[in-house]
Amino acid sequence: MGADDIKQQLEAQGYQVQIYPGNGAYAGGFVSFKFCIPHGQFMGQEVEIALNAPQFPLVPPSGPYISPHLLPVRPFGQQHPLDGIHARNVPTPDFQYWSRPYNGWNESEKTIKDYLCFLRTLFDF
Amino acid sequence: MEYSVAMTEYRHRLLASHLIRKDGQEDLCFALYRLGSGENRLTALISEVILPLSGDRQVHGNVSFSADYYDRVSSLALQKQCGVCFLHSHPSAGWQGMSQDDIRAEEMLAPRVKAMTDLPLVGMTIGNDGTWSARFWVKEAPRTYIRYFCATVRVLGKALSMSFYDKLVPSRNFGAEFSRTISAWGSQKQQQISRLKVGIVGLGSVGSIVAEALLKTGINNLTLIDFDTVELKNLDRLQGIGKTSVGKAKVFEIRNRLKSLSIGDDELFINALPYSLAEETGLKAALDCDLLFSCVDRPWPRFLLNCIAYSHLIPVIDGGIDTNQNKRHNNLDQARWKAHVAGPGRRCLCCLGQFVPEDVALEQSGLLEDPNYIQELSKDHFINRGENVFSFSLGLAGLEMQQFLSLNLQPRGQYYGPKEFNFNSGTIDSDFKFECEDDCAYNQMEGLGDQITNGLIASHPAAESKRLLNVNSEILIDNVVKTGLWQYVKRRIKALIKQKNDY
Repeated sequence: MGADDIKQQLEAQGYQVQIYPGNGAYAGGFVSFKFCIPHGQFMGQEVEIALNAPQFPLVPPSGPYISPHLLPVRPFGQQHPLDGIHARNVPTPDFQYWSRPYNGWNESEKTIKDYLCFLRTLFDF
Repeated sequence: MEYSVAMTEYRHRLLASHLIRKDGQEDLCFALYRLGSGENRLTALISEVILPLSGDRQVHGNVSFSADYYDRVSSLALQKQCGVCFLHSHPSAGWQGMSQDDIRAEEMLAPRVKAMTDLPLVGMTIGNDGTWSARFWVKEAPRTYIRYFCATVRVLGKALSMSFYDKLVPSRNFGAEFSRTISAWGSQKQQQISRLKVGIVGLGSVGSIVAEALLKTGINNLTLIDFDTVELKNLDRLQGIGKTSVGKAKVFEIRNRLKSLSIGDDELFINALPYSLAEETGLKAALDCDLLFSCVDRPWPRFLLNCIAYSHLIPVIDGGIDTNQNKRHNNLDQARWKAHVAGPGRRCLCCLGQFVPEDVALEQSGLLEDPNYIQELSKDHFINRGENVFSFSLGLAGLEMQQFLSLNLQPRGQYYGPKEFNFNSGTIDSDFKFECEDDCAYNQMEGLGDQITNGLIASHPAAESKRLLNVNSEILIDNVVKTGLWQYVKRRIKALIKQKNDY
């Protein structure tokens, strides 16, 4: 459960992962990997995605932490892609937190493969 | 430390049908267990029954087992990283003591099991009426194993069945004040129900009524878990709580209320904890209970309670209210409330639709504690749905208490499934699926104990902040003792600034 599962599944998908330790509300730490944005206005840009989901796969990440900062911080509102972007300074200040719950996680296979599919849709703007 | 054993009804039946012989002779077998560690109770959760094969044991009035049988059990225990439980039967009814032969057999096994698994041997005896007794053999010094009897053995399935060791959980004394209650189901059932350790998670409108209903049913050992404080807006819904309680921790105010209502001769034990269930103190206290009420309206604690129900075999009685105004905002449009029990053999809270994982993630991210964020959420979002009112909470608390009584009494052996009351039509719907979906992850947690819940403990900034701002002297002293005076002052100032900014 948690970071170990995410790490194992990402590696099985061919990603090289890095672990950032976490504490307090981020117990369980972050698993990060390089991700090439497949479409949209940032297409082709390589970013680092960090995920914190201590009870994965029961509970999916609440959203990705993305480095470098891609969009202005705007914590309020629900409109993707511009709203719900937070400066949380974790796992490092280089990351922005995009609050993007995966609606319908229960209906998915609950694997990192499903999460990567979801992640790709987040940049389609 | 208190000791206990828990198993599913399915495993109990398997064991009972093997151990209780028609010819009246004793029999034996082994099982594997995993640990469930509460704050004050260690539970052996029976995870696998290993019945003897032909030639594995000899029945001769008494019974003995072969080395091959024990070797088979040992290798399975090692492979699965489980503890070993040695079970046998006695041809008499009720809680069973141990003969000298029984003691010698377990004394001989205890060091071998400990050396192999690093876990204590658990010995169990079943009487011919299905009553269990159990003990842990704990290594306390080199070559010294002490036998600790278990206070309870819990069997959970469609019903909750408890075996109590009277010396550790004495029979209760009920006088005239409970005569009407006892006249409904008799003193034997009353002894069963009243000796349960019951936890209530969430002491809001439903939880405060349930707490009082449990007290009136004769339960005297309650654990109350809720980090929230009483606010003015809670006063029209909290049972027995008035204006003088505003700003104080709900658990302490409700504990005081219950103590003032105490009706029996027996002492009332109330463990009031101003913590979130996600925090170690809250979670461990929940694992000390025989049964839990889920009176929460948030997805994170529901998720945790669902995990506890299956991994620790502690039944969870859950419920929820859904209301909303009509489009013109001049009347109620609809209201309904439902109650159900989660646990092995029953549909889990996730399959029942009581929470979705993405909402758990959202709550864990802390955003549901942010008033600005909540304001921006749609009116359809569960956090913005219509609030319940006291009368509806009474209805739900009633449904939850019925689930509680049905689980424990099982009149005519009938199984009580989920129930939903429709306020508009005045009907009770019971047409629900009883089983989980085939791929349900929670069912697969059955009896895994600490292996699951150790990964659930988290810090809960909202709960920490509530405790820092609380003026209750018990919490204040606890905070100062835990963090030191200077740290406490710094953190309290920080929390006050944050509170000011939020509002």
